[in-house]
Amino acid sequence: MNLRDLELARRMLQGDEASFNEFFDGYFPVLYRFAMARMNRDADGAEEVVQTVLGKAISKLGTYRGEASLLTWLCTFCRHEISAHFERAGREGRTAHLSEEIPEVAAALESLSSLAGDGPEEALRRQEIMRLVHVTLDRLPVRYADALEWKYIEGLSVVEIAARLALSAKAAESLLTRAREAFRDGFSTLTRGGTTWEPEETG
Amino acid sequence: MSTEPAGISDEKIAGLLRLTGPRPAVPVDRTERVKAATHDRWRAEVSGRSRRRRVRVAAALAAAAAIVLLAGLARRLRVGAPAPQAPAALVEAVTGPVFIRPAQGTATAPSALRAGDAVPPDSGLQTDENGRLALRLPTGGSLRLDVDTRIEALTDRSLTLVAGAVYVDSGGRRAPGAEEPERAIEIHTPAGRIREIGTQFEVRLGEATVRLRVREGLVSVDRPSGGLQVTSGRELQLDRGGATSSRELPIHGEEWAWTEAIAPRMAIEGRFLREFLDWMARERGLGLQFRRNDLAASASTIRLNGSIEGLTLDQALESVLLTCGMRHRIEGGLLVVEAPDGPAL
Repeated sequence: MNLRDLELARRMLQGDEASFNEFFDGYFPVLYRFAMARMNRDADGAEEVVQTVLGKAISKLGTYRGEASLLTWLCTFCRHEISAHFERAGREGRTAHLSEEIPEVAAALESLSSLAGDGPEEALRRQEIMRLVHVTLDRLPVRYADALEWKYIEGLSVVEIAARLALSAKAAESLLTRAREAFRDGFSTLTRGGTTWEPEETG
Repeated sequence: MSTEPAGISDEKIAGLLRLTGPRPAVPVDRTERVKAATHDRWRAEVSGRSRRRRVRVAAALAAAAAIVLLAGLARRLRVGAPAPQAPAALVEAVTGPVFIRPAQGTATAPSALRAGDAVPPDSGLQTDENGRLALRLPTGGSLRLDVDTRIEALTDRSLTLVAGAVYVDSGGRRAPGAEEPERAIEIHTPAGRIREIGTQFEVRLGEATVRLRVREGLVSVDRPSGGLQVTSGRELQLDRGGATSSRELPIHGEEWAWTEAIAPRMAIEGRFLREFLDWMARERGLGLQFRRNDLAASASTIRLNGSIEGLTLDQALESVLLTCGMRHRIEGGLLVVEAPDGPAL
């Protein structure tokens, strides 16, 4: 049971503005990237699809029971909407062809050590790994993903991350540890072809 | 260093993240557009829920008061201030361009409709060659417009068909001989007034005729030359001079395909499989039969998760039954549900 998501849905239905912002700011970028990856980078199409998805999800929010995460629930809407988009356009979508959704993905990611290569094959592999890293981050609780990006990409210190998250330094360090664990689990699940990984923020 | 992803170290995670860089940001203009639209939709949903809650509370209070003050309350309600104008219908599904023309005398220009919009009373609606529309009426009934259709003067219980075809599903079967519902839906056509009596039917306007097809229940036709009643599985052609002809008509299959294409999809989350199958059978004009008793029993206990939005009825049926370990066949007007191992047993 995804109590955190259930509570967010409940507060939204009560008209809580902050909850709407948390919902939109947390899920819109993820859904947009989800749609872009499945719609041949068609930005206009992805915007239209995600707007429709969010509208439909809001109208059905009262039926959300927390059995799956909100993200999984929204991605279900998104997959259907993308299929409908391609059907309307009279062509087949790519929704079934993404590597994180098929078991064979592991073959493309067998060797992380080849990342340093310069050939076209290595470049393609790097691109795929980049995408999977981003998919993994998108599947993490928002604070985990943000903390990892701040730490390793922006180079913030633990104290600076703690300030951004309004936590103590110790709590921020602990959150980073859990974030790395969740990333490790998620990335390995994706590269094994699993699709049911749903981390929950703890602590 | 291990090449197995599950064994990647903290340092490797750091390296991967540095190498890949931040996730691509969504352009600000797109974010703002979608956020504004989604926020509007959310506010409308919250307001609608609040209004529905108030209505429920008001209904409960009214019922309680009625126990002691029925006559007086009824009189007060009759002479009270007029209620705000309620919508004639809500838009449930749209494909292609569909336009609403406000009631006569209002200055607003025609505008496009989207799912979730409310349709004010006395509006006109128009679909083009690619547009279809499904509306939910306050009575609970479903009203669907085919391509190239125009209706006028839509209220919560009547409309005038000017061109094209409409389909009405009043939402449930009525017992034979039962009273005509107080809020039956009426369709005004050049050949007369067509009124449902608990049913599913289609009315299509031709150049010189009105065609009525009844899928379920009974439909009455009031004309200057005399009334008619049309039963399930019949098609009636009326010309403007009063002549009629009729024939038998299958209540499932291609003849009804457009009504199924625009049918609002059931929200299956948390519903029982049996409810879904009953809905599916009704939308397709089919009877429902389980090949084995244990399948029927299971269908009443299996709860569904997810959504069938965006799927055709065939896709939805196949997907749902697959996840429930069942399959189906359609034969002789029946939706037959069976085990994956075949029709035997």
